[in-house]
Amino acid sequence: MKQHWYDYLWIWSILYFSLGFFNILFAWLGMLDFFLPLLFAIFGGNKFFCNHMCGRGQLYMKLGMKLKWSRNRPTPRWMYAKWFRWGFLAFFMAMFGNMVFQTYLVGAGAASLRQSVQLFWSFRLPWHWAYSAVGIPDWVAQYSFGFYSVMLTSLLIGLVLMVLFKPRSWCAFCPMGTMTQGICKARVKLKGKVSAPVEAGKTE
Amino acid sequence: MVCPREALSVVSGCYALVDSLRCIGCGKCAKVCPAGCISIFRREAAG
Repeated sequence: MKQHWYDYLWIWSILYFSLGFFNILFAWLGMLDFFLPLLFAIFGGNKFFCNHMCGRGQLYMKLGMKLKWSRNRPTPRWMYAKWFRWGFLAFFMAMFGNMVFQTYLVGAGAASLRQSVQLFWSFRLPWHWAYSAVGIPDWVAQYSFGFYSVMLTSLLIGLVLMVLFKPRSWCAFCPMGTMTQGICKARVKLKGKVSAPVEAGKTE
Repeated sequence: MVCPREALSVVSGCYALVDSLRCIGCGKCAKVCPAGCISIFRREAAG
C-alpha cells in the first residue's frame, strides 16, 4: 500500500507530549490538532484529519495492533451512542471554557499562574520544571499548562480504552470527531447532497 | 490505512462506506472498528 508522509504523524503525537515535558510552551502547538480537523470539516466537508492525519489515532493503532497492547474487545455500546458522544462534547467544552476563563483571570491579574498540569480535570501534577518565566506574559503560560492538561488527560483516557477495548475506542466519542461529524452532517443538510468520497483512488 | 484494497471511504465526513466491488471480505476493518458497525457477509464470487 502506498505510504504517505501523514502516515507517520503518530511520531508527532509522541513528540508533542515529550516537548511539553521539557517546555510547556510547546503545548500551543496542540492548537493545530484543534483547528485543522475543524478547517477540513468546514471548508472540505470531510473528516480527512480523523481518517488520515490524527497522530493520536495512529499511535493507538500502533500500540494496540502492532504491539498488541489492546485486548481488542468490542467498545461498549453506550460509548458510541449519540447521547454519550454529544454529552461528552458538552462536558469537554465546558471544561475547556473553564480553562480559557482561568487563562483570562491570570491575564487580567485576578489570579496567579499555577505551574501544574491538571489530570482528569481534578488532580494537580507538579510541572514547574517545564517553565521559566522570561519575557512571556503569564496568561500565555497559563494557557499552555491548561491546554497540555486537556491533551494529556484525553491521551490517557484513550490509552486505557485502547488497552481495554478496540485500539481506537477513544475515536468513538472524541470531541473533535463529534464536532467535525456534526459540521459535515450540517453541510450535507444545507447543500442537500453528499459530495464524492475523498479517498484516493475512489473517483473512477 | 486499514483496508488493503482501499475499499473504505468516509462519505462527506458522515459515515463509512465499503465499495463492495473492491472489498475482498478480509474483515480487517470489522476487527478495528471502534463503533462495531461493520459486519462480514458471505457472498457469491464476483465475476
